Amino acid sequence: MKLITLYKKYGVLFILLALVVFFSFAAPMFFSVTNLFNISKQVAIMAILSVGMTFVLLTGGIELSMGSVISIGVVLISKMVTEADLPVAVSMMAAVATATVLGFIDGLIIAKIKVPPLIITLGMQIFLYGFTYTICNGKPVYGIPVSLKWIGQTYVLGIIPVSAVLMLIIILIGHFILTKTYLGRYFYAIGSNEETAKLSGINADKIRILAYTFCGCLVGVASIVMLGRIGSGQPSAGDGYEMDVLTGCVLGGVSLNGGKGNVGKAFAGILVIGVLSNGMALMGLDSFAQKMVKGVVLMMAVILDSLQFIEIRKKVKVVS
Amino acid sequence: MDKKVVLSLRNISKAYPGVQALDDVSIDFREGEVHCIIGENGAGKSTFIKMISGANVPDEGCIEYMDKVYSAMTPALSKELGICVVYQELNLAEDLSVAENLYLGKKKSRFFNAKEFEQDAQKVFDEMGVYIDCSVRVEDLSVSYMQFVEIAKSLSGNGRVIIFDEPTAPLTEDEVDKLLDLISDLKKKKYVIIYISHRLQELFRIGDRVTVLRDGKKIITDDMANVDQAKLIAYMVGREMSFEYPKRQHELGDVVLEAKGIINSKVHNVSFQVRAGEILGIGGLVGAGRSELLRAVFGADLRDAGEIYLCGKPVCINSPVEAVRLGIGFVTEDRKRTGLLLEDSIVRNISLAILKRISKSLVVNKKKEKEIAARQIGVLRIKTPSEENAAKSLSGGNQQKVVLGKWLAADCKVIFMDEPTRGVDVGAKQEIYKLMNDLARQGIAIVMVSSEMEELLGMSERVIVLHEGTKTGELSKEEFAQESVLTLASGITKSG
Repeated sequence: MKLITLYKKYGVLFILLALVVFFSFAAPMFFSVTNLFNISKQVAIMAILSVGMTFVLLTGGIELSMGSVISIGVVLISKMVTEADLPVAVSMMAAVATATVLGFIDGLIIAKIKVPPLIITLGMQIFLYGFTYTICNGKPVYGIPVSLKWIGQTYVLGIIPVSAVLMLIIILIGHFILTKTYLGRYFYAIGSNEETAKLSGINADKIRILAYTFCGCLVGVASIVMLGRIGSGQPSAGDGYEMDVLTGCVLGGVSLNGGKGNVGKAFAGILVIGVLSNGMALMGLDSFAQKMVKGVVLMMAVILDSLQFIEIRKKVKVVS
Repeated sequence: MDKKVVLSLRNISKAYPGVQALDDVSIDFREGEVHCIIGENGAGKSTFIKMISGANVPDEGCIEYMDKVYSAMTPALSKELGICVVYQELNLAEDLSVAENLYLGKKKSRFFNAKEFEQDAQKVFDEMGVYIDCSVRVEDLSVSYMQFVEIAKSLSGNGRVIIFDEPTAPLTEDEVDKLLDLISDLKKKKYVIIYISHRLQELFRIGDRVTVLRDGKKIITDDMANVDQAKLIAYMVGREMSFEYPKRQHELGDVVLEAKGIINSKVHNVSFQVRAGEILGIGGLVGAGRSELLRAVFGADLRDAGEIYLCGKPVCINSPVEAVRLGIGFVTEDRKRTGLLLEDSIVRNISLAILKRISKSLVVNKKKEKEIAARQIGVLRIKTPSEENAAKSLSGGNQQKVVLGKWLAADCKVIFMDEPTRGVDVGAKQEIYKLMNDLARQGIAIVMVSSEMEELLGMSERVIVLHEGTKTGELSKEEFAQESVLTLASGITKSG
């Protein structure tokens, strides 16, 4: 069981290192400055989402509608800009606001009606998927102004992607909220023992709703970055993102049972996913093979997350 | 007159860490008798059931059943031998029909035949003299009928011994009559009935013999005809006050908290008030609604009715958020599940209720947090190498102090303490008593629930006693006597 303790502390970093070394040999293109910044660009969206996911996971919840919220954000902005001729800034704000409200609704239902978060956010995902395809008739929206692509495709100092900078800022904000503010502490508290938290005068429902709302807001921001990167209003833009983000977070040690983890480690987990996707693509693995690998990684991450609780259960047995 | 002994316990002892739950207990149970077992909270009644049902094994002693001697029971063995327990929390699959429940887990035939099941089940109920439709789903039955199903379950097998654990608590008066009639019937059919109840009056209606347990020891087994209520209560208490309780001699202040007519599903129209510097004890048996009363006032459980006044002013407490804001703290019964964040540090546990207060525009003032925690660790003498250690690394007594520290840090005017010394060692117990006195001297009002009679009478200024959710009486210090508390707790009111 010592192995697990070791893994909990440094496991992600080992995996990351091993992957980097492996791909450096297996795919010669991998270890180049261009590719590394390429990875950071690819990782940026996931990393922004991982901050929101971490908030939600810490409270003991889960958010599986991220992908389709990104899709609706992307399509919404494109539509508003190209068809309604609204200013770019207004459209972007509208997308963030929509995502925030959707997060709020998830949180409200989960906190007040005690619906299992897995099911309600999955339902939200399916609904939004259908909704997005309906409003754009299943077709991508083209004709996005250059100013929108700026975030996704511009480089600071000619080499650092703007999206990576934004990602870093958001991670820092997330880290600040979790470690410095009482809100962050409340997230941990209700995730590790809701009853204790409630009896200590913490409004658990409110805090939970807040976590989902924060998360929604970040998904909205991620949708702007996404649109900038792909350059058109694709209704399929966010497909499957929630699973990659979830895998990354859990791999990084954010527990599905709540109360454990932090954004830094979640980011390390996301990097593993990013490096893995990038490396596999460079090696020329087809998308089906990639899916198999990703599925196995998700299962491994969840198994490792649960193993720590088996350890605890054994301990209790000895005591009693 | 002497009937055949079917089941007997021989010199059974069982110890749990820190408690001798059963100490050399021997009891015979005879064919066709209703044998009542009574005792205070913690007298060893549930451990006793566990020995017979096989849920737990004795450290010493043996169990004799039908002329065979067993060193211990297992759940499977006791079932096979025909021993069944009708627990207060019934053990039924509520989604299944009455008939299906009766034969659940009993291999009857290769295929499931609902008709056949129902017919067989009907026979069992006919024999019991209970009219019930066996195709009805159990969840649609009333509690008393669920109990009948539970009883029928044991009769449908090879049941010989039926143990009733507080069977009448959830029943109405009519239903109680029905159940007691049924039990008398079973007695005639030569079943062995072991009947455990807090309601002394019932025992006199159906009991043949009674055994009184106290602190894990058998005090007496006697024919019901030879005893009366007062005698039984005297047997149940009669405990020596084993150690000195620290005395308080300060003046009491004004009434700080007053609860009027608190009503919900577990508490029926209970009122109490507590003054600054006073320790108010709440007595009663387990399940009498003591914790529920505190939870209702604290806003942790819903209230259907009731007013709460703080320092004379009516206040609105709909959730613990408001209670804590108003300066009420709650040291809960189960510190691990509802009092602490076990994985978190001592500091974080102590600051939990005041995080918002010590934050400036969202940011927690960590320096202040540490100072406050350090002060509580000092005042409460929490023994730990570092304030950053996880709460789970502490001993029970120190964990309890951390919970207390959380409420002291929050400057509470009123502190509810539910079983404040449960699971702490004797030394820590004394310390907690001293702390409670210090707090009272500082003018904090304390409301304490305790199942330990000595603690209740030793620490409280005044005691109110609950019985099945109703307040049956209030005792002032001059009226303190173990017998009077137990009489009230058994539901026998002063007036009669």
